Amino acid sequence: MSAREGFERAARPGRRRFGCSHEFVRGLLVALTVAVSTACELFRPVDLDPDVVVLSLLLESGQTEARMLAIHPHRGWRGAAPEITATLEGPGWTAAFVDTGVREECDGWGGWNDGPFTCLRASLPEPIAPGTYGLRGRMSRGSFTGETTVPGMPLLMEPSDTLRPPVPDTSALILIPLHYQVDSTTSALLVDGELVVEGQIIEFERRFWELAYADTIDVFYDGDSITLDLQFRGIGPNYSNWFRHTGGELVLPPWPSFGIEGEGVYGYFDGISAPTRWIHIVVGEP
Amino acid sequence: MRVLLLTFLLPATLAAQEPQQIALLRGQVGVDPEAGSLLATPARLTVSGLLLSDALTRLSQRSRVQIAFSPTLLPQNHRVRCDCAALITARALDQLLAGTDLGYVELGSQIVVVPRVERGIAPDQDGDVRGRVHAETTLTGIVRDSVSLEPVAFARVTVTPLGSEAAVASGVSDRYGAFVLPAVPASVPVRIDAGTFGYAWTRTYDAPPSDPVRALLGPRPIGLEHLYVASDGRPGDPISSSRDAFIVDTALLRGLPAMLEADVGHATAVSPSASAPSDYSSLPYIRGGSSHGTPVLLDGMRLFNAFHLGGFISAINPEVVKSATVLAGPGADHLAVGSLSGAIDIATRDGARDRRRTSGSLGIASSRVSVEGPVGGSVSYLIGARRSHPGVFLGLVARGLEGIGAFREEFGGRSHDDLHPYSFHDLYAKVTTNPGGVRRFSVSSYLNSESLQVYDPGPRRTLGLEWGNAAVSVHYRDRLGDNGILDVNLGHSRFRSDLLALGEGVAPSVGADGDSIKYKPPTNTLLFGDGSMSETRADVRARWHAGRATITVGTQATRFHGHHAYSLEEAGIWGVWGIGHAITDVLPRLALRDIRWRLAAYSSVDVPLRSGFSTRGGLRIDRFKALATTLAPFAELSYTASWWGARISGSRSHQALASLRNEETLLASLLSYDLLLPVGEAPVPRNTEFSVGWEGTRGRQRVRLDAYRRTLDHLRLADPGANPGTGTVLADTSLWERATGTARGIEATWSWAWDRGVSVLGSYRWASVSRTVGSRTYTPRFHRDHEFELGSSYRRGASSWSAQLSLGSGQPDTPWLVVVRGPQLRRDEPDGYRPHRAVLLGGEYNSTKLPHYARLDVGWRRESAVSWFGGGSVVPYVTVANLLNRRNVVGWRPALENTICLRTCPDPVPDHRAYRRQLPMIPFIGVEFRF
Repeated sequence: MSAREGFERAARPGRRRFGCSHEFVRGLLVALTVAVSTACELFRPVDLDPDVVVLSLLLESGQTEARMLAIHPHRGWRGAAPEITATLEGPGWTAAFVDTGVREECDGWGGWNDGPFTCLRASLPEPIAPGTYGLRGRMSRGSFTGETTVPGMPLLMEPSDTLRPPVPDTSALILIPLHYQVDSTTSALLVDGELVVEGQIIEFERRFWELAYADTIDVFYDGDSITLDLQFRGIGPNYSNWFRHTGGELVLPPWPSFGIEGEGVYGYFDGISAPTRWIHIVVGEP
Repeated sequence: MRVLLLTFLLPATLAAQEPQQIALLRGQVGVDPEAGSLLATPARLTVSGLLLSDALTRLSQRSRVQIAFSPTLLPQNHRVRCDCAALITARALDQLLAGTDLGYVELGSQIVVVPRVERGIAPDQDGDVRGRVHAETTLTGIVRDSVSLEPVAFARVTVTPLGSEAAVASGVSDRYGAFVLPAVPASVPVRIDAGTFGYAWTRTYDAPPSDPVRALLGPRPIGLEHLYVASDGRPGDPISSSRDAFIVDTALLRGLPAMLEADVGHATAVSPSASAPSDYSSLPYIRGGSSHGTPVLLDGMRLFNAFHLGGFISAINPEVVKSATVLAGPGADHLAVGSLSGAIDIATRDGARDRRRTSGSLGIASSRVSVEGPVGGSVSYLIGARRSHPGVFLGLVARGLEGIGAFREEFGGRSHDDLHPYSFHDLYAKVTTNPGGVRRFSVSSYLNSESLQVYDPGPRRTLGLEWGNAAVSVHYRDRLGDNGILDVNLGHSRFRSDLLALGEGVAPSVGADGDSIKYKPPTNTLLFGDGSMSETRADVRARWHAGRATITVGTQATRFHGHHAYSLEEAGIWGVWGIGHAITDVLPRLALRDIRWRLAAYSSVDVPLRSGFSTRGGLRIDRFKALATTLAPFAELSYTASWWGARISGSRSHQALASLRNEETLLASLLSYDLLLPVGEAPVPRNTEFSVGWEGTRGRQRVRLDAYRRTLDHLRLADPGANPGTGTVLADTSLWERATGTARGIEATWSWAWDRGVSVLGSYRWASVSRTVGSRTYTPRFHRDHEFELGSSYRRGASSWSAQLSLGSGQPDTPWLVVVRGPQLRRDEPDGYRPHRAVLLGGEYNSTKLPHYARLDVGWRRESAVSWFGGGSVVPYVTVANLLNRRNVVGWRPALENTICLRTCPDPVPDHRAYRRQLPMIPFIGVEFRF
C-alpha cells in the first residue's frame, strides 16, 4: 500500500480515529516526507573547476630553448588538452611557444596522472642568461602574464674539486663544510649528484636545499666506500615559494608569488642558474 | 571597592523601598488610581444587558487587564450595563459592581474582584467599598512526589483565600522543590494548591502556616470542588518551565529516539541555541561559542570532557538525571556560572524516599543500573553505574565508520580492530538528607574512566590510553530568616589522562620468501605523558524576598589547575593518538602548567513592576588573580500579558580559561576533547550579549522566539591561515592569537501536546557566526547558518513512537582550487627529508559550504508490566539513526592519487577529496527496566 493509499484509506468516513487532528497528522507526515525528500536531493558533490590550467616553466641558464607544460588538472584523461598561446619575452626578443605534440619532451616536469596536457616549446634567439624574462599568453579563461629573474651561477669556494676526508674507524656521520656565494636573486639551491657505494651506482634524486641549511654536506659512512659527486645550481624565489608550500594541506591566500598571474591560471615560472663545478667526495677506497 | 559595595547595597536599597508587613486594601469609587496602575487602564468597554460574569470577562479582554473573580460568588442572573468606552477600568468596575456586595482590589499584575467582608453593605452611590486589613506573611515549603518523596521542580504553587477563586500569591518551585511566596495574607483562611501537569495537591488552613509546607503531589488531580490545577509546566516541554532556559526533563529525554541509549547531551541539542558540531558530538555548542566556553555542570560542579566514545555519548548516566538546563547566554540564572557562552546544567535526582527501587538498561554498547531508596526517615540514596560491553558492538560501529572513511587518517590509520580493547565506565552516588522544610543536605560523587589498551604481543605498536573524571560536590540548603533561602555548594572536579604509545616493533609474520619473521617488541616511545585539569569551587548564595522583589546575593571562589605534559617522539602521529600532528617539528614536547584563582561576588534582583512589567538586574564582579578584575552586568525588562510575554536584555560575561583545542581541524568535528588553560595575560575573554524574546501560549501550543547578538572579545584562537588542516592541539599558549568573534541569530521553538498522546517539539535557528584572527575573518567550521529540528512522539497504549528530523545548511568549507605539481625533488632538512611534489592551492578560508545536512531518526518503545522482583516494568526500545541513510558529510581531506606505473613510481600526490561522512544508518536496540 502506498503512502497515498494509506492516507486515503485512513481518511474514509467511519475510519477517522483521530477526529479533526487527522488532518494535522496527515499534514505533518506529508511535510516530513517532502522535507526529507527535498533535503536528500540537495546533496551535490563539490567539484573542482575543470577549466583551470596549471603551467610549469623553468628557464635553465645556457639553454637555447624553453619548455612549458600546460595541464588541465581537473579533467579526465580523455578530456581536451589545454588550448594555449604564449610567448616568452627576453632582453630585446620575443619567442612564441608551439605545441611539440610529444609528451615525453615534458616528462620529468610533472604529467603523471595529471590530466590532459600540452607540452610547449619555444626556440630562443640566444641562450638563457641571468636577467629578467617575461611571459604572456592566452587560454580559454583569459590572458595571463608572468615574470622571473634567472639567477647567476653560485660561486663555489669550498670544498675543493676533490676531497678525501679521513676514513672513520666505525660508522660515523662525516660533516664537510660548504662555502659559496650567490646573488640576490638566488633563493635556494638545486643539487644534482651521483652516488656510488662499494662500486654500485645509487639513484640520486635531485635535492632542494634551503640556503639557511646549505652550509654542510653530510655523508654517512658505515664501512662501505663512498664516492659522491655534487653540482649546485641557484634557483629563484618563484619556484622556491612553490616548493616550500608543497605538502598535503591546502595553502590559503594570500599566496606567495609563483611568477604567474591570470584568471584560472596557476603554476610557477622561474629560472635556474648554470651549474657550478663538480666536487668529488671520496670516502674509503672505491 | 566602590563597585563591590554597590553590588550589595543595591538589593538592600531596593528592598527598603518595598512595602513591608502591613498593607491596607481599599476600593473607592471616585478616587483616581495612580497613573500607570492597572485600575487606571482605559476600559474600552460598552455593554448592555450582559450577565455580570460576561461583562467582567469582556472588560478584561477590552482593557487587557487580568481580572480575577469567582463565578459562583457573583449574583445569579445579574445583568449590567456600562457605557464605559472612555472611562478607566476603576470607573467601569464601579458601575459593574454597583448593587452587589463585591469589591475589587489591584493585586500584583491583576485586579481581583472579592466579596466585601461586611456583607450586606452594598456600595453606596459612590461605590465605596472597603476591604479588610490583612497582615502579610511569607509562605515557604517544598513540593515532593507523594510516592518517592523526590523533590518536584517547576511546580506551580498558589495561595487562595477561602471563599475566593482568585489567588493572592503564586510561585514556582526551584530545582530542589522549594518555594517561597511573599506577601501572603497572614490572618485569613487560605487554600494552598500545588501542582504540575497531571499532578496536584491541596490543603486548607485557618491561616497560612508559619512552618514550611510539605506539598506531596498525587499522581492525579484531587477532586475537590472549585479546584483548579494551575500548571505552567508540561513534562517533555522544555520551554514551559522557564522563560529564559531550555529544560530537558526525563520525559523529553526518553521521548526522543535514543542514540545508543537515552542521552542527556543529545537531548539538549534540540534547543535552537545548541548546535552539535557533528553527529559524533553529543555535547552541543551554544550560540556560536565553542565547547570551552560552555561548561557542563553536574550538581553544580564542572565536568571536563564529560563524554564517552570520543564524544558520541555524554558521560552522565541517564538514570540519575532529573533535568538538564541549557542556559543560552549570560543572564540572571547564569550569574553564578560566569562562563563565556552559557552552560549545560545537569541536575540529578534525589533517591526515592518510600522504598528501594532499581532501574536500568541493557544496551548493545553498554549497560547501566541505578539503585535508590530510603535510609531511615529523612535520608535517601541514589547509586547509578554504567559500563561498556567489550568488543562486539564497538567493533561493528568501528567497522562501519571505517567503511565510510571516518577512520583512516583522522584516527592515525587505526582500523576497527583497534577499538576492541576500548572500554568505559561511570559511577554516580548521592546521599540526601531532608531534616524538614526546605532544609536539605546532599553529597554526590562521580567517577568515570575510559581506556584503550593494546598490549597484544602481535602488533607492532603498543597503546595504553587512559583518561577519566572524578568529582564530588556538597550542597547545603536552609532557610534564611523568614523569607529567604541559603545555598552553600562546595565541590571539586578533576580530569586526568595518562597516555602511552610505543612503536617500531615487528609483528610476527611470514615474509615473501617464506621465511618467518620473528616478533620484536616495540623499541621506540612515540608518545607518553599525562595531564590533568581540576577545578575546586565554593559558592554561597542567598535568595530572599523583600516586598515584591526577589534578591539573590552570592560569592564564589574557584581554583583551576591545568597540567599538560606529553612527549612526542614522532611528529606524524595524531588522531586517536592525539596531539603529535599539532606540534611543530621543532617542539616535540608539550609541557604546560598553570594554576589560577577566581574570586567572584554577584547579586541580582527581580522586581515586578506595574501593569505586567517586571525587571531583573544583576552584577557579577570577578577577580582573576594576576590577570584582571572584571564587571559583568545584566539587565532585563519583561512584560507579561495574559497569554504572552516579551523581554529585552543585555548582559556581559567573562572567563579566563581558553582551550588548546583547534576548532578548525577536521578532527575537532569528529572527536570531542578540551585541554584548558588560563590565558596568561589580560584581558580575559569576554562576551557581550543583547537579546529580545517573545513567547506565547495558546491552548496546548507554546511558541518562543529569541533574537540575540553577541560580541566575543579577547578570545585565544589558533590562526587558521597558519595551517588550517593541522594543529589539532596547540603545543604552546604562545600559539594563541588574540581574536574576536560575533554571533547573531534568531531562534524559534514551538511545542504542541495533544490529549491523545501526540506531542511535537520543533525548533528553527538562523545564525551568523564569525571569528577574526589577525586580518582574517571567517566562519568557524562547526557552524551552520540554518538548523531545523522537529521531534514528535505518539503514544498509544503501552507503545510509543518517536521521530526526529534534523535539517541544516552545510558547514563552512574551504575551496580547493587546484593542484600544482612539479618534478620530484627531495628536501633535505635537519629533521630528515620528505617528498614534495605538489602544492594544493585553496581559496578563501571557509568561504564555501559543504552540502546540506538532513537526518531522520525514528524510535519505538513499549512498556510492559512484569511481576518480577515484586513488580515493575520493562521497556524494550529500538532506534534507527539516519533512517534514510543520507550521506551527510562533515568535511574532507585531500586524498592521494592511485599511481599505476611500471617502474619506480613518483611519490603520490593528493588529487581528490576523501569525504568524512557523518553517522550512517545505524540501528540501536536495548531494554530498560524499572522495579
